[in-house]
Amino acid sequence: MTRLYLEPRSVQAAVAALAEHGSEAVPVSGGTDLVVLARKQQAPLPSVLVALHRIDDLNGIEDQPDDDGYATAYGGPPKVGSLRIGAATPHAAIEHDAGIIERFTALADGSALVGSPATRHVGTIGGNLANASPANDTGSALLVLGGKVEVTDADGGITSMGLETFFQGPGRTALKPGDLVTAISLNGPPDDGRRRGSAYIRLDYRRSMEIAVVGAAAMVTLADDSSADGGAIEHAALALTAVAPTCIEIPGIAEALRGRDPDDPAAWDEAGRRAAEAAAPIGDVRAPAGYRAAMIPVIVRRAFQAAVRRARAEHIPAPATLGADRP
Amino acid sequence: MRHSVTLSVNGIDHPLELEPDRSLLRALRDDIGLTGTKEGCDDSECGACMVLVGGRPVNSCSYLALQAAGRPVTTVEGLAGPNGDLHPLQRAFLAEGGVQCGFCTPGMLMSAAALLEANPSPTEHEVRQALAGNLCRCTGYTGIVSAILSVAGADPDAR
Repeated sequence: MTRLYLEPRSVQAAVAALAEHGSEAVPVSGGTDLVVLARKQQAPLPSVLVALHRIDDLNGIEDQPDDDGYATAYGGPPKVGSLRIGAATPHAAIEHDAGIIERFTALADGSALVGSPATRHVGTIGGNLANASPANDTGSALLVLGGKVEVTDADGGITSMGLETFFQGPGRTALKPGDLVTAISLNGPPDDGRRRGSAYIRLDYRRSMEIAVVGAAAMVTLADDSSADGGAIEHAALALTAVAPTCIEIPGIAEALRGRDPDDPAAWDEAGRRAAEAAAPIGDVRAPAGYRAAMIPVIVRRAFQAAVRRARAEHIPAPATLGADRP
Repeated sequence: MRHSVTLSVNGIDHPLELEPDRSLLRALRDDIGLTGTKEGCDDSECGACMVLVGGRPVNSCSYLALQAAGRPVTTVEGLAGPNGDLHPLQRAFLAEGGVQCGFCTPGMLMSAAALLEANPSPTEHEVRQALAGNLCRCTGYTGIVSAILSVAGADPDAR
């Protein structure tokens, strides 16, 4: 039974409230997981609710200074178009944001697939990540796009971590008591003129109010920006949803695909094999483990083919659908 | 512990004392007495409880009433004009046979109203996407979609 409801107006006040009430307190934004689970009597509401919807600093997508440190460290050109997404930004704002659609398209796909229009108007990216469902639709996109989770602790200290560190298991994250997810940051692509594209494809039984059977996020950079088809694969990344205890990035993809022809089906079969090796699917109400395992290479291929088509400047609206690998 | 809150529903302020776990649906139906909004699944799946909060569709069964404070709430009772004249969408649902048992209708109307506010000339695909969180167990979707398209000034047969 909830005994206390708090509506802080600042991040400082929110983390102070979380610290004061310790493990009794849980932040709530749209409530599309927390309140729904309570309605279904799967998990009672916490005794202290810290509502985040009145904290303006948590809601919105803003340009970020581009990360010169990254470029210096890796010797590449500077990055442009970096974004910071407030943790309480709803999915509906993310799926329609021009900068996300242009440069971080797989995230637009993931946000556009969450629930229904009503879910996306109130459900937020911070809540989606903090609930850490193995089937969450934004985690794999953020893994291949290099997104970082910004966490503010009770003392106001800020830590930034990748999703591979943030996700610890089903429903478990690196958040400590009193910690609050305050933003997601995305480094823009290098300003090198290369063609890049990304996509998140979800296998599901219907388009809306659905949870992934298998999801795959793919990102590709093509090597030849002067040719019509973009040339060979220069860089690639792949992450999977709903086939492991967390969303997982597949190791070795960049090395395996570098220099390969993006129109050669064998390249994507190789990625699919690596993905199937790294996955550990379970059987549940949505699909038996064997079906998930069999579908991994299929969804991986479709995600990569959609990413390549986007890299070649073809318009595939978000969310990219299962048929997005076909013209 | 009850919290004092004022909910603005269909332009009228309602001062209330609510427990934190009170859903917006229960506040609307049981505390304010507006029973047009329906409880279907009580699980955010069916959309029968759809209302607008700040002009956007929300499943009121799974939304904390306290979080609606300070934002205008619109229910199906707020669609008709002050003289009881039906909203164009309501007239279109009647004209196109978009109502069978009627239980999903308030939620369908609210999702449709939000869509047309944001996008006055949607395609059929956009209408169906906007209704993706509203289930009709009579499966009367064709009439519902036709009704919304007719208000949008579109000819359903031409799409």
